[in-house]
Amino acid sequence: MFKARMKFAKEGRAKYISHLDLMHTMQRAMARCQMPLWFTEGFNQHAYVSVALPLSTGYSGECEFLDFNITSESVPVNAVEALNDVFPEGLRAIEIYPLEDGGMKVGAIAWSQYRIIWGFEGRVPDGFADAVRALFARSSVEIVKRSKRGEKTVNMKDLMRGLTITETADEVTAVVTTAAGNDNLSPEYLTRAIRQYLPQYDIPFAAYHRMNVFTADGTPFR
Amino acid sequence: MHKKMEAILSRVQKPARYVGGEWGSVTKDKASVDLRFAFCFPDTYEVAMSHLGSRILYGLLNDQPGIWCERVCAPWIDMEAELRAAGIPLYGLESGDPLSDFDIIAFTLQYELSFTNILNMLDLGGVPVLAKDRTELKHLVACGGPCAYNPEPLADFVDVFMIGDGEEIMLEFTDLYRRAKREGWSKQAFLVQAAQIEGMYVPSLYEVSYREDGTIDRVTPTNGAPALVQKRIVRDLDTMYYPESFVVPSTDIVFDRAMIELFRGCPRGCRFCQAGHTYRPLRTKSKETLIRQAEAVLKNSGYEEISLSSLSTSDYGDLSGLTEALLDYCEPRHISLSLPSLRADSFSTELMQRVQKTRKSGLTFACEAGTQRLRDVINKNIREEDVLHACEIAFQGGWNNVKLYFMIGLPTETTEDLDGIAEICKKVAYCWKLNTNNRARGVRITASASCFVPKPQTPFQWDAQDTLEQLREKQAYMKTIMKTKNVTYNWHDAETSVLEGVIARGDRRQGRAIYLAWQRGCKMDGWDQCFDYDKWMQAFADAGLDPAFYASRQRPLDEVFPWDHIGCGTRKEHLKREWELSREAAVTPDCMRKCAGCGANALLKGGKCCV
Ligand code: SF4
Repeated sequence: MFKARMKFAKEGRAKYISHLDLMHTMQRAMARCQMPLWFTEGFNQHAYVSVALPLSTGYSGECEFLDFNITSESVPVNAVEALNDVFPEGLRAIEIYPLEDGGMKVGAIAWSQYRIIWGFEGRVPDGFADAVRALFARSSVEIVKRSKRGEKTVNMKDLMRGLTITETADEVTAVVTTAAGNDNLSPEYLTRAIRQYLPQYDIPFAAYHRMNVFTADGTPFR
Repeated sequence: MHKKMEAILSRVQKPARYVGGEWGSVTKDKASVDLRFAFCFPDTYEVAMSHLGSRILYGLLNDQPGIWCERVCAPWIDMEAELRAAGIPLYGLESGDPLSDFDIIAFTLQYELSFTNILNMLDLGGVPVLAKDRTELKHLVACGGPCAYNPEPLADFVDVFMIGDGEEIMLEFTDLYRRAKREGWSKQAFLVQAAQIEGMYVPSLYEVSYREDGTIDRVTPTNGAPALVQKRIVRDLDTMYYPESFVVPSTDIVFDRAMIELFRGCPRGCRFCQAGHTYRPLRTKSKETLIRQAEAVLKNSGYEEISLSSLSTSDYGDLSGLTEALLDYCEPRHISLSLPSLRADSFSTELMQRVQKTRKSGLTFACEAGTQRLRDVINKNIREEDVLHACEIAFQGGWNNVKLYFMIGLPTETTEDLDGIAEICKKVAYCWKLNTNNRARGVRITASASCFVPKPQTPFQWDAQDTLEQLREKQAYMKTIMKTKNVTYNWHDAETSVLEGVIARGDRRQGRAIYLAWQRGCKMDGWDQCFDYDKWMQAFADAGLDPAFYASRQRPLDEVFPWDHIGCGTRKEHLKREWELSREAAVTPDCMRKCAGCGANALLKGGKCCV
């Protein structure tokens, strides 16, 4: 048995595949390209596949990871191409590599970089981009964060870094790195903070895309 | 994808079912095709994608270079509200183009309670719901499937019906349509020609007159349409088109697995069963074909489960050889095999034990009725001894999960028959006690009772369905007698069965009631959370129709039925004879033992059934 990791993208129509469905979809794609998946023995045989840091349904991402076990000695040649030939629209394998010594631990992921696009019916309202810049330039932006343990007021600035904001005629794009892992900050909180602190602006559309994930010291996860 | 759509998808339940792009879905260049075909399923994506017949026809149509067939499903309530609010029309899953861009809009009719969804989908797609309001050749609405054996309640909405096996008739229909489109025919000219294709029924070419008592006097074809539209059948399943691959949904559906079809038709003649009478004669696929198709479909889909589909799997000639060969392929690939519709005999039980070594999912027995007398009335050739013997083997083999299916409201039913249901359950529970080697683990016996609905084209088409009150009384009685420990009793509310019964044997005057019901918000009627019985009853009243006239009236043997001009292969005289035999509780042997002379053999070359 052999542990492997696939870096993949989940975009376009595939954004809407939920986490659980993604695992089935991946297993079936692997069966179609005859990837020698390893199955558990015994009563209820199943393949081992696991997605690191699942994306919320509706988010896209180009830095997603799937761990799986195969029975062959090494990653089959052309595995990336073979999978891409049998994936549903919107899934794309980028790289498949062996996980020596177990590889980087998923628990080591500390930061995710996202692209957020705020869209409008017509043109971007006057002053919106600057108002957003000014909002997140404050030293403290308090929001109510919800987690399994309940609600808590936090300064979201502690959980985000490296925000840049650009605009086109009908969209404003933010690139931001937010905390992942235990005390994480979903990028949706940026949209929420704008709605809370800048209620004069109506944001009809918001799209989220994960660009990168990092460990605590800023090393790209792989 | 448009921003607006993305925003909607972020708000609705299970958005993956609305986006398409699955493995196996077909995308073509619009400019390269001359026929855009919308294959519509009037229910949710999860139900639609589970339907084998639709998977076959989707493949067949897209195999034609000039045709692009797309799938259209009924959006769930939340999605419909969003689409309407945003002014986005219902669309094809492959292209995202509105339904109104399609030439042919075809629906498969699996269930009477999905009829309002047809109207709703047309309306959501920007297509007029009434056939008379669609004046062009474009937006031709076609229907096929089991409910097309009584197409009349939909006559106001549908332009053409395909009767029988879609694989056989579909391409003749699309060829004619493409020619009409190329040559610029009017819709009327096309319909007149279409009626000349065997198995095509064009309701607007038939005039119906009624008697004073409300029954039909006569149905008169016009414009050269045939007096009897006989169904079409695929004669040879081995050479019939079968897709090498299926659409593999990226989200969970009802039957999320590969399927192969052992045969069409059923050699048994259960008198309540519409499929058993409308799919005759029996046609079998050879073992070699099945193995080849199973391997291809598993390889191309990546499914981890395959099921054998048929009305009566145990009747397949070499079932043991087939499963053996399939297991040889499946086991090393971690693919499981499931065999539904097995009969309760020991052979089946042994087979199931071998097949489902790792998954003891449970045994199911369709007993249907509680006493031998009533089982003889309905010609269900299953004996209590068979069930108990099969249970004995299963319980000894460590199984502890049994499901028993019954019907209440069958013709001639008495209290004794209802008591019989409780009796059987008690005996099964006792059988477990005697045979299990692990009492501590317990047993789960589930008994489900559905309400009988008399269907057209069956021997019980003359029978009165129990009224809502009668069914409710019987259900209440059942609850008092189903007291055995370890037996869970399930029943289903009778209201949906009553409406199903009304529409199943309806005539074309019902179009008005269906239209009113839809206008007042009835849709997804097959889903309990959406079904509104009172609204339906009001719609019937406002259309000037009495539901009881259709459902709870014992019909005289010489009545002209609304579906008499639709031929299902089985002759009416045969059905009549079967009805008469049923009143004497006399059984008719299955086709393998003795031909009952139903007439369906006439559809075969040489006129001989192969059983
Ligand atoms: S003709 Fe005879 S053998 Fe053929 S389906 Fe009818 S009853 Fe069965």
